[in-house]
Amino acid sequence: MPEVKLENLVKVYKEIDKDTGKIRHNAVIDNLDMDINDGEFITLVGESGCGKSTVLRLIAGLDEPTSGNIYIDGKLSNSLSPKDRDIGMVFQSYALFPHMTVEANIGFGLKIKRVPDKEKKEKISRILSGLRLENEAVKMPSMISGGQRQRVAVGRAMATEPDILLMDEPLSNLDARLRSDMRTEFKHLHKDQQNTIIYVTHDQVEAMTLGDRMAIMNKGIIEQFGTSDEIYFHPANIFVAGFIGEPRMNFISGEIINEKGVVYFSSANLKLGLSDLPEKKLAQLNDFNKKKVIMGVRPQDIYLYDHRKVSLFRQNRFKMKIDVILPLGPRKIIVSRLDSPDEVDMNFHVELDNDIICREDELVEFGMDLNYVHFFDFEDKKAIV
Amino acid sequence: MNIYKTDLIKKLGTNLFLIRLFFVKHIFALCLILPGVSYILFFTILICFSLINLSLSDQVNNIGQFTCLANYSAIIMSPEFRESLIRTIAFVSIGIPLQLFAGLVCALIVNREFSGRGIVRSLFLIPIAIPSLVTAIIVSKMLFQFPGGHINDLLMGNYFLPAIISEPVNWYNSQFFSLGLALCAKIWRDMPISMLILLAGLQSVPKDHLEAAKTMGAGSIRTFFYIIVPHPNFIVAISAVLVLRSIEIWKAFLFPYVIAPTYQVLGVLIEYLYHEARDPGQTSALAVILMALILIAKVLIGFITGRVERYLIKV
Repeated sequence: MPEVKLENLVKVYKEIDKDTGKIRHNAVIDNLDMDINDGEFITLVGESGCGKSTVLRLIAGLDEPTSGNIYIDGKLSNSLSPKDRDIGMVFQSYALFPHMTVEANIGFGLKIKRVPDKEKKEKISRILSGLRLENEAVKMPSMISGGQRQRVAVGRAMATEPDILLMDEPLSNLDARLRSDMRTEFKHLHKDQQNTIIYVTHDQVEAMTLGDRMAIMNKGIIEQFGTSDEIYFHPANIFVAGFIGEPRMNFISGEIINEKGVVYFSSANLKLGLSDLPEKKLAQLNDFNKKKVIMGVRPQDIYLYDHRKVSLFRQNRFKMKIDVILPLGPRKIIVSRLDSPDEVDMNFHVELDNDIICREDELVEFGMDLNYVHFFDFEDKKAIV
Repeated sequence: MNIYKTDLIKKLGTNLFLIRLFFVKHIFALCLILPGVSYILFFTILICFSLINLSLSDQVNNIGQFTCLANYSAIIMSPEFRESLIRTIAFVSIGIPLQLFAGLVCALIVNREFSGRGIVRSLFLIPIAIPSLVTAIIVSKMLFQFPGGHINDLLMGNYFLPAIISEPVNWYNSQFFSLGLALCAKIWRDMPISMLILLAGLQSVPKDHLEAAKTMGAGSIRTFFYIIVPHPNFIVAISAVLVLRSIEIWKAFLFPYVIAPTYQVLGVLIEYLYHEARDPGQTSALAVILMALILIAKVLIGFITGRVERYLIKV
């Protein structure tokens, strides 16, 4: 049975239009469905303002949905107060109570639940030692470091052993090093406790590494919900394809042309033979004969032509001039310019090993592996194969 | 010996130089604090000093003669003082919590988001817009007059409600009632100030903290007592209200004077000693005693709030 189930969820905020002075209805969440299983680690990722934090607040009960239903543990809990939901929440600002010691902060939920003193003390000390905060027990939150505050916030949310742990961008105030440490710690925590975690972030690396499944949100709807592999290798639409992956996927718009049984992808920049594609994919693409499509290929799936076997890339190679090179230690990113006007992004990125020799302003021949090329419908931006 | 002397002079010289340097360097800052310093000097320190001076001297027979604590002992031995001290302590110990409570209730009402909040807030501010004397006269001469007065009329069934009593009540016969009336009028009049201070305190508690408490299982009552009340941003407001209001109530004069003149509190007794008994020495002695009482009360309030806070935030 799903632990959390969201059904046709809508949240509309009233706001006053600055120009007309009238009240405007702004749908932050627009008809959202989601099933979250017991014990799953779910990440919600999207750009700021996409409604991901609002989803979390609705699950926590801090806001009430305008319409739609929220089921927690099979129970309809639309207007259930947060205290009756058995949740723990970690806030982006941590929201540690500044007037209480670390110990009292962690014990607050237990104090509210009227846990007997002895048990409370035991639980607090167990959490403190689990989070390596024993020496900070009687300090005030203002006296400890950012990373420690973050751990206190997590410990405080876990103290009452809630069924569902909600985290709202908990790592966004930490520096990069600490963030990667904490990621590992969260993973451990989930492995030990096996509770349901719903984790909101704007960082795709966090979302991919942490979540059992991740949901990509955009403008109040979920664009795709699946494991990180599913999302990375089979993006459902252009938004997801462009959102996940660094540097972002290259998009080239063009047409599918079937010339005497040989299928080509043709655009202003390159012409690509597709006959090496598997039968099934090819058949689907054939439906788009003489129609506009967008081809997407990740920078990691493109190679310099010379470095691969010639036979593999008979038809799918193309020439491009290198514009600039961005070295990244073991890898380097080559940026070229696409010259047709109707592209999504004029920059074309290729990621290569650093030992491959190439120079700026040089005309080189690239090849790509057709197994990793994505095609999207130009009209509704959805994936074709 | 000589060497020491020159050394000392040298040292003094450098010190004087450093002091001069300090003044030159901070001339602007010193100019800025000058008005404040001179205000405190002339209006507080000098006045206190002359007050104490006055209270230690005879002002009736041999004017200006130093009498040590004779004025104080005369005051403390007098039955009027003891009576009015007891009244004032009762006045204060009921008045302060009531004042805090009234301000808090109004602040909590205005702090909620509802349509027409601005209007309600303005309505709550009306009491300070009416001069205290007018308020006191409305209460004593219009509402609670004997034998007329609106409240008597209301209770006797002259208005819309059925009669509850047959004879008009003389409110000013009872010490409890007339002082209670004075206290209520004072609290009504001072409520907006407490409300505004507490409202500022309430709004400076971050929303995150309240929401965090909610997700940890606290309802609104326990959120209020465990999070809002001991929150550093709010406890400042509470202490401000307690201290300011306690000073006000200790030295309450106008409302008891107009509404309950027969039952003197300390503030009224001062007036009586000065105008009726014509003894500036005893008057100033009483004023010094009142000042000391206010200081003691302030320390006591600090101690109690500290205790309550510590109780609320313990693990």
